Amino acid sequence: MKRVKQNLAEVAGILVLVFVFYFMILNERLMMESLLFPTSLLAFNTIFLSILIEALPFVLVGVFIAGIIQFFVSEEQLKRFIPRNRVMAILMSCLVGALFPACECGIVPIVRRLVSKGVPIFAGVGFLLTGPLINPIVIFSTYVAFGQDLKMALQRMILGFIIALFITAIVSLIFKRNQLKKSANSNQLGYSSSSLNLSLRLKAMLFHSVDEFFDVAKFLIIGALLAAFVQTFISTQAMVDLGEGVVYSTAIMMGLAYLLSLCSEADAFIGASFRHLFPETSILGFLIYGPMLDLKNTIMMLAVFKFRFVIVLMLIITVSVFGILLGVHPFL
Amino acid sequence: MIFHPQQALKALILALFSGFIIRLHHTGEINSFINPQYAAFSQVASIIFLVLFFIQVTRIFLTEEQAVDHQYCNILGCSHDIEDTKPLKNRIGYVMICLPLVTGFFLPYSELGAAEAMNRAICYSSSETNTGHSHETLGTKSDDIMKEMIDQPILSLDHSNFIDYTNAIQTSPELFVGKRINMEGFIFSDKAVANGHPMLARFIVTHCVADAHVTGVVLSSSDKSLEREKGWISVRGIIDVHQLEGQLVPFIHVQQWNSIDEPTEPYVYP
Repeated sequence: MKRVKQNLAEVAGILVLVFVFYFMILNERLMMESLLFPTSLLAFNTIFLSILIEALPFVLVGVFIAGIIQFFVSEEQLKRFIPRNRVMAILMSCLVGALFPACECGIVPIVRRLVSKGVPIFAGVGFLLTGPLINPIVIFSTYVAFGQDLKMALQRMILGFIIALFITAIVSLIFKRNQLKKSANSNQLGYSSSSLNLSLRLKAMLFHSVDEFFDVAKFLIIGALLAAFVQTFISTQAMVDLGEGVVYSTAIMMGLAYLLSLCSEADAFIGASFRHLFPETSILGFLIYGPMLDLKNTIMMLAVFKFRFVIVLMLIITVSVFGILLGVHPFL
Repeated sequence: MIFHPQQALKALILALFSGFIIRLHHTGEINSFINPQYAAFSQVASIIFLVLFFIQVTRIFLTEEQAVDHQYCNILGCSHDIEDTKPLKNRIGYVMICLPLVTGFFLPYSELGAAEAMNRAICYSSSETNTGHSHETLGTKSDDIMKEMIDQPILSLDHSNFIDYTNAIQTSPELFVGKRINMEGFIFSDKAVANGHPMLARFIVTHCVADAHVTGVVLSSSDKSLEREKGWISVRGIIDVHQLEGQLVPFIHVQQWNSIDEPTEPYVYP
């Protein structure tokens, strides 16, 4: 009897596969005429899909890491790993983030798992901020984008790190609890996962990754939709014309970084194209603010953390980046 | 035997995502979304989706013993009580996830062109502050390209050298004054760009189309019909420099031009 049931599942799976591949081949004829749609809608769709295609591999990796944390790392292990001393913990979380190559959308599910496993919220934030901002790929692409000039890449990295430390410190003073939403605060399993044997744990981890993917994907898609909308219908030139002077232009570049929601590995090239319009400080605002906070990852954070926490965190990040950059402007 | 429609739906979506990405690679359409250098990432993603699909399939049917065994059920993540509390929210979630599949499978893809260029960062000269020290900071690679370009009697820009050559012309236009040049690109003009002069440009896609930006050279021509032209053209002319908004900007004096079809690979990749 059991054999029959197993076969039934396999047959169902194969049927789905056949359906999908039939759909793929048939699709050539299903594709609608491009004349039916306005070109702006088609451009919108292209940008939307390209953001998704770019982000999906990183989200999948993030989802797997979240699954591994859930089932293979115990709370005690994590607690031992994080220093008791708060200053050390802040430094440590930012350093680990800096060493960890991630992008801003893949890192949200990882932070969520870490925090629900008892990592203090400020350490999670430190990791969240430096993960996408500082890593070898980002530094290299910044170096290349600014005409093989190391200065901008170094400034981005060092200033970004200092700002991240500052924000993490503030968060550690303001927020005590873990700030996860009720539904996200689920160590849903009512028992310790360490009691399971290895193969069952592996299976659970994979199932968990699938569910996590569906959880994250809808918010990623909403974020990508909004970012694609901004990219298609709002002119960067119109934003640039809003004002001059360091204060205005830094604010504009930060706003642009937020709305465009570019991956931190590629944003340096866009930033570099504004060099002839704005001072270096404003470009740094674009390069540092974008990886820390953007439209796409705000939506994802809102799904995981409490509303109030996300709003306050956004405020802290915005004010810190803006304030510190303007503070160091005379010395750059 | 219990059938889980929601788990079945998830399995189908995973398979469709995998199929969608595989199809893009199969037809080569992936190039109109991302830089082919990074194609491997999305190929890996399509394989991971397929693997996740095979994992998910085993959850579609549950035996009675498994459904009763609460511990096993928890591991499988079926947790019926949690999922059924918010059916509407759940449904909206699935609609969102299916949206890219629907638009991806059914809508035709378009390449970015002149209309989209208006909304983006446009590069046609390097800033004054940078030209000052550009010779020191530019690496040996750029110097080699400069030499190579100066040695050539006619510069012809194609898919492979477009970025390097336009970069060199923009950073040191004075070195190339009087040089003959052939290039292709889409033409567009905007009042805010280069005082409304038409520009011959292409999109550079660093990572994905979302970060595409425009780079090119300003055109000057006595032929008024050039300004009305939309779409792709091929231009033959001579490089010159002008002062524009206080900057030294390279121009092409157009000697001859004709409209061409959009190339199969409209974007250039660094």
